[in-house]
Amino acid sequence: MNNKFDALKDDDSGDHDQNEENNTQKDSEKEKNDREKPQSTTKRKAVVPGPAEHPLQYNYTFWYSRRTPGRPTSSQSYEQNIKQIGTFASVEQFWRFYSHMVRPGDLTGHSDFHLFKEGIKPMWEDDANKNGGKWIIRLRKGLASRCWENLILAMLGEQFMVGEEICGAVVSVRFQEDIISIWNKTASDQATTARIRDTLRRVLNLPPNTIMEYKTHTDSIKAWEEFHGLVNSSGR
Amino acid sequence: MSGRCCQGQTPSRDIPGPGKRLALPDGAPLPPGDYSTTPGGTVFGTTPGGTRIIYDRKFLMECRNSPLAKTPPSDLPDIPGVTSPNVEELKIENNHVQNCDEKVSAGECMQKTSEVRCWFLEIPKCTRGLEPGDPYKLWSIKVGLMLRDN
Repeated sequence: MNNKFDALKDDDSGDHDQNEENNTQKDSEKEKNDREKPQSTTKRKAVVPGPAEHPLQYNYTFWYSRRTPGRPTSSQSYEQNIKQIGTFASVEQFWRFYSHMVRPGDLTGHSDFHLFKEGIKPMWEDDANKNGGKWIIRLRKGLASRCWENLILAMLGEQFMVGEEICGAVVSVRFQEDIISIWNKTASDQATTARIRDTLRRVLNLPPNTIMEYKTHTDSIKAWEEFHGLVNSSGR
Repeated sequence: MSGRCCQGQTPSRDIPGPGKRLALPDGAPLPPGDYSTTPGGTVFGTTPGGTRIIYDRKFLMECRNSPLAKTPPSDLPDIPGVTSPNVEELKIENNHVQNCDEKVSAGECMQKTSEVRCWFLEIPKCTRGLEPGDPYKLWSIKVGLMLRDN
């Protein structure tokens, strides 16, 4: 079982649905308390740019998730395990959050930052994501902080030029490598995915041998379901 | 960084405020007066598909120095290791520290708090030579725990 799980872990490339379910009950309860405050706050009032601030094209929400390694699988869902950090509407509000969060390279364990347009959950199943996919870039250790910053600045600044297509971005800190990904709405729109890829190359200033991979969320869901099939048939 | 665009005083024509965005029909030529670049690069622009607010990396980085960008958000959740220092790494089992009477000695204080299994997160009032909120070093706390155990 461990081997199967480890093999799958290799494939989680910027999404977390497979592995995040492994959080313990204890962690989930602790994190649930952390979640409630920001979520209820964002429901109550709309986030708008302050006076003299520079508005963004869209509002965005920071999310965070973490898996405790080596713990048994629990029934806690992925959705319950991710925490909202906050929503911003202007360049200045973005920096207020970003400057008070650790950089991804300094995160410990199996952690992810997600930055998605307000109203889009960083989940395959969200209406905005369900027909979409993502570009995945695996990074050797030491590059994640810089690449993540460049990626989200390009997204916030509307550098991708693909209309409404961008949904959000994820940085995943893993044991031997880090992964950044950017999610878009329509996986079948090749002109859009090609433009996103080219923009990524331009803004990330990646090493020339960096491999970029596009994965549809349908494939991710299928892989996840197949994994569950394996788990169930082995009597777990 | 000069932060020329972001020191709290924004030239009014650099960025269209809410309600001032351009709405152009597809393919219409861009009116030069409203489509703006700054010496730092493109600050905003419109695309044929409609109005977009575009910022380049350099401009966004300059905005980081704005006083408006420095204060932490009031609703920033406290997530150890993410939005605050990672206290978990110090193996803290319980961050509750009993407040000791200021008059008791450090040794007595340790006796009184012997059931609290923790490293101190805050300097207790009875720790001589330090005030609550003072920076502290772990070695001094380890000494305190030794006293307690003896």
